[in-house]
Amino acid sequence: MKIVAITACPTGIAHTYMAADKLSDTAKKLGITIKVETQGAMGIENRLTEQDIHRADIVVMAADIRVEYGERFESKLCVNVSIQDALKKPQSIFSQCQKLMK
Amino acid sequence: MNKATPMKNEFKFNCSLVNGIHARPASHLEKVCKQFDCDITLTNLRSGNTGNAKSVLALVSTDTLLNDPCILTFNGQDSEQALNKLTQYIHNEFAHCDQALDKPGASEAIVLPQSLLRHQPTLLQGKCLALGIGKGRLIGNEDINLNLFRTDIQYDETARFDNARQQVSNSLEQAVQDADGAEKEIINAHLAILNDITFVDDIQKHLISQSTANAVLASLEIVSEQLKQSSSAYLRERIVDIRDVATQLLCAAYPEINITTKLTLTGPSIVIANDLTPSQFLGLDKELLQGLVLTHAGSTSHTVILARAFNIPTLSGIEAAQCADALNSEVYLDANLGVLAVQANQGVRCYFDRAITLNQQLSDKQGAYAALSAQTSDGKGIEIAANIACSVEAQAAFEKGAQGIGLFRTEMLFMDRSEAPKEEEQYEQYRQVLQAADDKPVIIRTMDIGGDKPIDYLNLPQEGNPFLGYRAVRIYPAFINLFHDQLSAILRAALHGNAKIMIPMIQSIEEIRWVKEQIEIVKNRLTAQELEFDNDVPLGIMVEIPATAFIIDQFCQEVEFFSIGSNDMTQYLLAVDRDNDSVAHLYNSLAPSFLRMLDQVVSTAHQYGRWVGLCGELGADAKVLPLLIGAGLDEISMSAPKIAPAKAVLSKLNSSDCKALFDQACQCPTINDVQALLDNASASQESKPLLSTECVLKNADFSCKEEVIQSMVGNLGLHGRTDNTYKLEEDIWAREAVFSTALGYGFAIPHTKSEHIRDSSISIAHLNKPIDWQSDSGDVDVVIMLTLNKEQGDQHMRIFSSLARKLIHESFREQLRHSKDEAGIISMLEKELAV
Repeated sequence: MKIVAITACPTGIAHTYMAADKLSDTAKKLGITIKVETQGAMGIENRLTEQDIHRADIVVMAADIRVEYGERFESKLCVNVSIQDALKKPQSIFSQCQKLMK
Repeated sequence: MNKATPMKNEFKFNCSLVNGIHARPASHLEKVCKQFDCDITLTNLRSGNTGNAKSVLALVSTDTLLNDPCILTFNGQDSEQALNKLTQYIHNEFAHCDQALDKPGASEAIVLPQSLLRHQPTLLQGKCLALGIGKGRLIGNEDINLNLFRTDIQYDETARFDNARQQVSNSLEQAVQDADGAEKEIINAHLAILNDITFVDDIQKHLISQSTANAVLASLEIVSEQLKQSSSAYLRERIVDIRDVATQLLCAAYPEINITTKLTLTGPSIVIANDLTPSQFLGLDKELLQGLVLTHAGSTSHTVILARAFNIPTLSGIEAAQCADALNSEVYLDANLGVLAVQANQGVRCYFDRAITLNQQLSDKQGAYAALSAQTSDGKGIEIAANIACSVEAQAAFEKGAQGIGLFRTEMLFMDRSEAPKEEEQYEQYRQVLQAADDKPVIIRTMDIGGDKPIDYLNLPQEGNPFLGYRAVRIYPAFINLFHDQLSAILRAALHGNAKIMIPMIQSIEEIRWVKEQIEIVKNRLTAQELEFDNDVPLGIMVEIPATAFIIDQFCQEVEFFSIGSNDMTQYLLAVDRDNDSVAHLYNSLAPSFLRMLDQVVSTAHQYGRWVGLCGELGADAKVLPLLIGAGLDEISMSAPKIAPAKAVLSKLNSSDCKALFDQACQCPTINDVQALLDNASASQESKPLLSTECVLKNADFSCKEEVIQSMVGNLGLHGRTDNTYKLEEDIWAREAVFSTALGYGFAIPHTKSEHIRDSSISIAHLNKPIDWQSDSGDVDVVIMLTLNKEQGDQHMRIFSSLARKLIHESFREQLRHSKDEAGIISMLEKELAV
C-alpha cells in the first residue's frame, strides 16, 4: 500500500512535525510506503509531487486547520483525522486505510 | 487701580505652573515676599480669592491653577523694591520652582494573567500608586477622632498653644536632620504649615474665646473647607497634611489625653486607610508593612511619595466597605496588576506567592549588577561613576553601584540663594560626599556659573550669546575670593577621602597655569592659617572646548586628568545650539568628527600616561557604550539610575570587538553610517542564544499547570527575553485552548509564535512531582516550552521542528528526563539538534 499524507496544526511549531514523524515511523514498521508533506511555520516542506499523488492508493489528511492546495486530492480516496489522532493512534489510522482499500 | 498713590503698586501675571500654586511653589513665593516689609497680597482674578502672599496656606487657598490671571498688590514702605524684585522673580524663576509630578503606572490596560484568572480569584480592582507585590494581614486604620480633644478653656491657653507649637516645631526640626530625600521635603512642608502666618493667626484669634483644642479644630475646619473647594486635586490632597500637623499640635497640647495615633503592626500587614498622614506612615514598621491601600489618596499625596521612596506597593480607588469582610485575614496586594486579592483560595495563593518570588528575583538581579565591578566579558575594567549636583545624592549613587563620582557639579551650591555659601558650608558639603564615597574617587568640578546659569548676587551682565560668553573659569579672576574659598574648602575636605579638582571651560594653557597659581596662593594661605589640607589633590580639566583637543599633549604637561563633557563638546564642535529648534537636529555626538576628536584626546592622553573620563548624556546610552569602550576611555560618568543597566550591558561586550567597532566608526563618512554600524552591532550583540542554562528549571516545585506556565514565562522575563510576561503568557494559553499540549509519557510542550518574545527560546522544566496538565494524556513531569519570535524566523523554526520530531522517540525523551543538571540538558540538546 502506498500512502501520501499531510500534517498541519494551528501554530505549526510542534505538532505538525511530530505527527509527520509518527506517521512515517509507524508506516515503516508496518511495511507501508509513505511520504508526508508538512505544512507548518516553515511553510510547505517535503512537498508531494503530482506523481507522488498519482501513484498513491490513499491520502491521509492529519490537520486541525485548512490544508493548502487541497484541490490536488480531489479525485483521491481521503482519510481525514486530527493531529492528535495521528500522534496517539497512528496504527488505527493505517488499519482504517487498509479497510477502505478492500 | 491706585497707581497715583506712590505707596501702592501692583503687578499682573498669568500663573505658569502646571500644578498651580500648591505648597512647594507657595513656600518659594512666600520666602521672596517675606524679604519685604510692605503688605503683599495675591488676588486670583478667576476664582476671585485673595490671600496674604507671605503665608503659604493663604497662597494655596487662592486656588490658583495653570494660566489663571493673577495680581500681586504691594502696599507699604518698600513696595517699589518689592514690586521690582517680584516682577523679576515671577518672570524668571517662579515657573521653574516646581515640576510636573510623575505618575507611575502606564495608562495602557493591564492584561490579568490567565495563570491567575483560571483560579477564579476574588479581586478588587484599584489604581496603582506605587509598584510592587505584597502579602499580609489586612489591617484597617481608623481615622483619629479629633473631637475627643474638645474641651473648655482651662487656664492660660495662649501659653498652652505656644508650648505645643514649640514642641512640635522642635520634634519636626529634629526629624528633618535625620531625614533625607522625599521624607525631608515633606517634613519641611509640615514645618511650613506650622509656621504659616494665616494658620497661626487664625488659631490665635480663636484662642481669645476658646480652648487650644477648640481653636485648633476651628482653624483646621476653616482651612480644610477652603481647600476642599479647590478645583485642583493636588490642593484637596493637602488637607491630610494640615490634619497631620493639627493632630501633632493637639497631642502636644494635651499629653494627658491618651489617643493612639500610632498604628502598631505585629506581623506582615497590608494597611487600608482613608488616607494615612505622612507621620503615621513614618511611624509604621517598614519591615512589616507589605502594602498600602489608601482609599482616597491621589498620586501626589505626600504619603504616596514616601511609599514610593520606601518601595511599599500602594493602591488607591478601593473602598473600605468593599473589603470589610477581609479585615484581619490574609490578602495579597499586587500593585503591578492594580488588584487586591481577598479570600484567596489555594490556587490564588500559589499564583501570588510565585509572583512575589519572581519579583524578588528580578530586584535581586538588578541589585547584583549594581554591586558588580564594571568590566567587559573579556575582563577589561572601566570605571562607571555617577554625576551628582548635591551632597545628599552621593549615598544613593553609591548604593546604585557608582564606583566614584565622575562629576560633582558644585554650582547648585551657589544657586537659589541671596549670597554665596561660606567656605565652611562648602567644606561640609564636600566632606559629606567624600565620606559617603569611602575612598572611591570624587571629581569636584569648580563652579560653572554664568551663561545659562545666572546667579543674582554676582550681578553678571546679560549676554547675547552666553554659551560663548562670560562663564566658568572666565569669571574666576573677577570673583577671586569666591574661587579661593572654593579651592580652600576642597583642599581641606580632601583630607576625608579621594578628591580631585576639575576646572570647567578651559581653552588655553594660560588659563590652567593661572589656576595653578591660585591653588598655590590658597595653599600658602592655609599654611599661614595653620589649617590642615591635602597637598596632593590631582588637578584636571573638562575637555569641552574643541581647542583643548588640539593641544592635549601640552595639557598633559600641566594636569593629571581629563573629562570630556560630551554635551558641550558636541555643541561647540558642531557649532549647534541644541536648544534652537531649527538646528537641533544637527546636534549628534555620533558625528564622525566627534568620534575622531575622542580618539585624538584619549590616545594622546594615554601616550602621556594621563587618565580620561567622559561625563554627559552620551555615557548613559547603552547603544553607544561599545563605542566609548572602543575609544579606550578610563571612566564614564552618568546619572545614578543608569549605572546598573550600563554595567549589565558592559558585562556582555568584548573589548577588542569594541575597539574594532570604534575604528570602523571613525572611518564612517556620515552619522547615518555610524548609526547603521551600531544598529548592526547591537542586533548581533543583544540576541540571546536559543538554548541556555538560564532557561532550564531543574527540581522545580510547581503544584499546577498554571504555576508552571507562570514560572517559565516569568523566568523568560527575568532574563530579559520578554518585555511583557503577561501578554506572552496570554499567547501560550491561547494555544493551550485549542487542545492540550500534553504529549503523553509525562511530557508537555506548551508553545507559541508571539510578538512578545524578544529572543526565541527553548525552556525546560523538570518537576519534582508530576502534575495534572488538564488533558487525557496523563500527568506531566517534564515541560518543554517553545517560544518563537515572529521575526526571527526559519533558522530557529528549523531547530524547533527538529526538537519536536525527536520528542516522539522514547530514547530521546529518556535522555532528556535523565540528564543530571542544567548544563547536561543543554549540551545534550545542542548535540542532538546540531545547534
